[in-house]
Formats: sequence, structure tokens, C-alpha cells
Amino acid sequence: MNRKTSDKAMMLTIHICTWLTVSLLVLILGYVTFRGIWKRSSVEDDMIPGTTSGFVVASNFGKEISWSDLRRVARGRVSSWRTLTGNDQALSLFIDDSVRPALAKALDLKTSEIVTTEASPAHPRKGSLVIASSVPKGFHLVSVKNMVLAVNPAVAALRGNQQLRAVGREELEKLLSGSVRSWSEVGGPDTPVVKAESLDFLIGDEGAFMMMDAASFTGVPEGLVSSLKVREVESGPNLTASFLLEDTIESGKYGGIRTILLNTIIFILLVTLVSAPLGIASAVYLEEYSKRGKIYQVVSTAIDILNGIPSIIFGLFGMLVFVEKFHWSFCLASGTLTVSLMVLPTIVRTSQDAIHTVSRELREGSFALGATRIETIWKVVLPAAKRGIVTGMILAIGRAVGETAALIYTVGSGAALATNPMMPARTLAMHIYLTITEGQGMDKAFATALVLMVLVFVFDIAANRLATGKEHT
Amino acid sequence: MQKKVHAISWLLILAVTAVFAAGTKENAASQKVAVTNYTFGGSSTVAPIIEAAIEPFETKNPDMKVSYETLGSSVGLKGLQSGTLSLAGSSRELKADEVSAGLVPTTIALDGLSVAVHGDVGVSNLTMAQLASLFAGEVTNWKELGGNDEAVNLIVRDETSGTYGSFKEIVLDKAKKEPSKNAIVAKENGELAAKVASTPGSVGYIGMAFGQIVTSAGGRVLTIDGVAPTAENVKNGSYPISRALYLVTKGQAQGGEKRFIDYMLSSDGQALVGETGFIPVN
Repeated sequence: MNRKTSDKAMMLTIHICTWLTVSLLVLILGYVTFRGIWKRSSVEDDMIPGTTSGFVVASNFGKEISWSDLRRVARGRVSSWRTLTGNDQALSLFIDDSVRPALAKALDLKTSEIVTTEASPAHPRKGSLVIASSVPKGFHLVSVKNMVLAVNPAVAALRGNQQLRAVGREELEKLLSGSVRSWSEVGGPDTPVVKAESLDFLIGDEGAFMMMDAASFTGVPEGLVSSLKVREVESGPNLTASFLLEDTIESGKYGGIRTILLNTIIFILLVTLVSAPLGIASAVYLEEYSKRGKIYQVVSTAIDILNGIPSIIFGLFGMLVFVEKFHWSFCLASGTLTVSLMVLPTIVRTSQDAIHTVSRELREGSFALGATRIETIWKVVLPAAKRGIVTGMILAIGRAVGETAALIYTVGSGAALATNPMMPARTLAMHIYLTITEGQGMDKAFATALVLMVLVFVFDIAANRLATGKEHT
Repeated sequence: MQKKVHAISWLLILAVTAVFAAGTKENAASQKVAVTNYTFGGSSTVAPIIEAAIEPFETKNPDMKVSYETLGSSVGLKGLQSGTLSLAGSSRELKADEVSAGLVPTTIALDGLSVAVHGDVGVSNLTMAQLASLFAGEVTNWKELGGNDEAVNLIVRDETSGTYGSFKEIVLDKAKKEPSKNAIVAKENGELAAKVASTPGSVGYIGMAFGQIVTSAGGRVLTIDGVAPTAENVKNGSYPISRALYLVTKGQAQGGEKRFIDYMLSSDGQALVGETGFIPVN
């Protein structure tokens, strides 16, 4: 009776622990995947989309443009979409001559300040932006953010240490529909909200607001009116094809992660190339040749200690030796060697275990057939131990690909493709770390994290196939 | 056996095609001239300017390949002295021992320090005096500054940071106060912004150009004495917390380093300074 209940309790505990572990892992994977696929951020903007008169903006690339960006574009100051949408895509501009006066008026520019371009794209390239009287075929309308929420300066004045600077999009809708009575409801002073119909009224009444187009707003002498920003939650797909295929620009501020992804693959291959022969050879020596004496003991203990040492210590070693002593500076070679040294103990230890489990009969059979020691190792022991060795390699690669501490001071942070080992080569894990520390945004970090997870998964499958391949043929 | 060959060749093909597909662009340029790699590094505040400048600079100087390591001002200046870096970015003035070690600074931009708070503190402005007592640890609740009933969480930069040095000098030293020991430390500007945006009741200081990260995460940037940290206000001196950003060389700049500094001071370079959210000096 007693034993039965305690058995049941044990089983229940085991079940609970298992399910807890599994659900935690699923939760983490799910969260990273979700954040990697979907982004959501709150944006404060000076202006909201409005209508344009006398011209339309059309494109086959971007969907929205702010008034000040359009102003820069019209003056010929923008040659790439990167500052507009973050994409590494060339911008070709076409302005129809007939809309120049209307455009100049709307942008508060002189007609002569607007660049002259071809009137319309003969062969529309990707990334074209057309300003004309109608939307050309194959293009879509780009909404222009050109409406300012103008308020009487009293609404946005400093009260003690408090000030109303922005309203949410829903709050703006309520303001426009007249359902907000006092500014205090949206965080402002306790004055009644009044919708102004004219500029004079806006300047005259302490609680007045009005939607104005950007050109007329900038025309008002300074200090007579203030503006409130509009807060909006933007969401959309995070990890896109363009993020994978575009080069990394300005340390991840614009563009995607193509070069970093390639750097990571090169890095993994190099680390494997350096550490696998060294590690497997040492394991063979320790298991097959060494007499289990003092030296074996010392080497074994050293490997165990190195296996448990935090990676930052390897990083320090790499910095002092490769970066400073050898004058290689921060580069792929320094990083590869540092991480190869770091994963070496793992490879030696797991390979050793794998070789150890190969049965004595197998070896003796080989010797009995007249094989030499090397032949036995090469043709009998290593193939038999292959699975264990490959598992060790997967562990090692997993550690290498997720490594940042050992790389911060060795591999460098340059995001360009490393075409030779003396170039800095940022890896995906480093990119996640740097994206957050340099403030390029959590969304990019999560998108990169998802790619890194998939990459590890792919390597895992590839290595497992390599290991089990023989059984199938 | 076949599968093994399959997997290996698959991996190799993947890597090789990738490398060559990508390498074509760079190879075309680099085959003509011998390219020298230059490693610059230091201040994380200066990083966005340099990173924006690298691509156009390399186009003009095809014989140079530049990289910038974000290490922090003090670590960068040490790296410059030990020879790991040939040019360092610094967001603080050089100390006496660094000047006597032969380091030469060149001002490339001006910057304001923004004070950023979490969205829930209910404060939009602080006076310089309030700011000093806040970071000295004398204020423990936002109520005391006219905000909500929310405990104050200070977030500061580490002591090797130039931003830390400038803020201490401009805000705390002037008020003859010591920085609070009871603060969360962030290593870089971006990390600080992320921490401010996610920690309730928090306040921290960052380079002006990083304010966007805080606001996009729901935090806000304060006005100081009623003045907002904008390029205009820093330039005309009305915003009280501002400093210069430097490029530092060991001895007078020569060769590639001199070319880079000259580029940063040219009209193209200074335009980039403005575009990245800092204030041009020329």
C-alpha cells in the first residue's frame, strides 16, 4: 500500500518535471520564432498620412513616405531606400515636369530647388519613385505623411515637469470626433478641447487644435503654434527574404544579414577544419597509443579543466596572443583559432569516449587478419566510432556558432564578407550581441536569432546524416 | 557511403557558391590595387558616424579597408596605445596621461546627451539641479519631481565609457555631487536605451542620436530646463549637456588615418555627421 502510493507519487513527479521541461523549451523556441517572424513597435511621428493635391507619389517599392523624406528626395538628396525603409535598394526618381509647381508648393520649396529628372520610367526598375499627376501602370500609390496635429502653444506648454508631447492614434480619432472634452484626458492641461477652423482661432484659443498640412504649418511664424506627435503601433513581418538577401549596411542599421550569414558558414567550416583533425588525432593517441601513466593523467586532467573554462578566458588568450602578439588584429584568423582552441577539449573528450567504446574483439579481429595498427585505427576503429565522434563535432560546432565572449575581442565586428582570413568577420551570434548593444533594435536581433537557430538545426541534420549514412547503404 | 559524399559535397557547394556569388562585387575592385586593412575602434557613440562613413570613404580610397570595433572610449584609447588600433573614437576629452602618451585628438562632431526615461514616470522635463540630485541618488521617487508615485531606477554607463565621463563632468561635478553607487550599469548606448525602455521608473543618459531607440520602445526623452536635445539647441548652446566627439591618433595623423580624418572633416564627412543625428563642426 505504502509502496504503491510512493510509486505513484514518484511517477507523477517525473511526469510533471518532464512536461515542465518540454513546455519551457517549446515556449522559448516558440517565442524566438514568433518574435523572429513578427515585429511590433510603437512609433512616434510628427505627421500622419494625408492627401496631396496637384500630384501623386507612386512607387513599385515603398508604401509610405514622410513629408521631410519626400522633401529630401525631391531635392535629389536620396539615392537609396535605406534611410526610408531600411532596405538596401537603389532609388530611381522620376518627376513629371507638369507637377513641379504643385510639388514645390506642397513641400515648401522653390521650383528651382527640385531636381530635374526624366519624366517617366521607360523601363521601370525596382525601387522607382514617380511623382506625377497620376499613378502609372504597374505602380502603387505611396501615402505621404504630411498632416500635422497643430495645437495652441498652451496645450503643449511645460507644466512643472510635465508636458503633453504626443497622443495615440485612437486618442487623435477621439479628438477629431469631438468626444474628448478636456486636454487632461489625454495627459495635457485642464483646458477644454476646441477644434479650430482657422489659423487665427488656433492662435487665439488656449485649448484649440487643428489638422494642418506640413507646408502651411512650417509657414507659421515660430512660437505661435505648437504640434503634437502621433503615436502608433506598427506591426508586420520581421524576417523577410530581403533581410536574408541584402548586405549588412552600417553595422546592421540598414539592409539584411547576407554577408554575416556567409561569414558564419565560413567560420564554422574553418573551425571544423582546424579543430577536427587536431582533436581526433589527440583522441586516437590518448586511447590507442599512450600508456596510462603520469603523462596520460596530466593530459586528461588538463583537457577536463579546459573543457570547463569559461569561453571569455579563451577570448582573452586569443586577444593577447593572436590579436596583439602576432599583430593579426581583429580578424577571422584570430577568431577561428581562438574558438578552435576552445572547442578542442570537447572534441578530444567525446572522440576519446567514442573510440573507447569500440570493442576489443573488433581490434583483435583486425590484427588477426594481419592489419597494421594504423590500418586498424583508420579502417576499423574510427568507422566504428564515427557516430560518437560526429556527435562531439555537433556539440563543438554548436558551441562555436553560438559563441560571443571568445569572439568579442578577437574576430572583429566588420560586417562585410571576409574574403581573406585577415579581415574582420562578424558572425550571427556576434551580430545579435552587437545589434542590441549598438541599439539597432530588438526586432533585428530576433530575426537574426531565428536564422541562427535554423542554421544550427541544418548543421545538426547534416551531421547526423553523415554519421548514420553508412547504415543505409 | 554515397550519402556521406552527398552531404559533404552539399555543404561545400553551399559555401563555395555563396562565397563566389558574393565575392564578385568586392573582387572586381580589390584586384587592381593592393588593399590595406585598417582597424579603428573605441567609443560606441562615435560608432554610427564611422560606420556610415566607411562605405563612401572606401569607394573614394579603394586601397583601404576600414573596420571599426565598438569597445568604449577608454578601451579604445588603450588599444590605440598598445597598437591594436591605429585610430580611436572617443566621446570624452583625453586625460592628462593619455595626452602625455602622445595621443592627438581631432574634433569631428558635437553631441548632446539625452536624458531618457521609462514611459511610466510621468515627467517630461527636469532642471539641471534636479538631474544632478537624481543621479547622485538623492531622489528615490518620481513623486518628488512632480511625476507619478514610482520608485527611481538609475541606469548609468560603465566607467570606461566616454558618455559616463562627460555626464559626470557636466552634470554631477558642476553640482559638486558624487554619482550614486546604487545604479544599474549598461555597457553601450543601445543596451542602455533598451534597459530604460524595459525597466519601470528608470532614467538614463545616452548620446542624442540614440533617443529614437527609447521612444520607439515606449520611453521618452526629457527636455532639460525646458530645452529639447536637438541639433539646433546644442549648436546655439541652449541645451546644457553637450560635448565633443573625437578621432584620436597616436602622434600626428599620417597616411591612411590622416586620409580618414580629412574625409570626416570634409563637407561629405560632415554631411554624414548630420545625417547620423550628430552636429557637424565645420
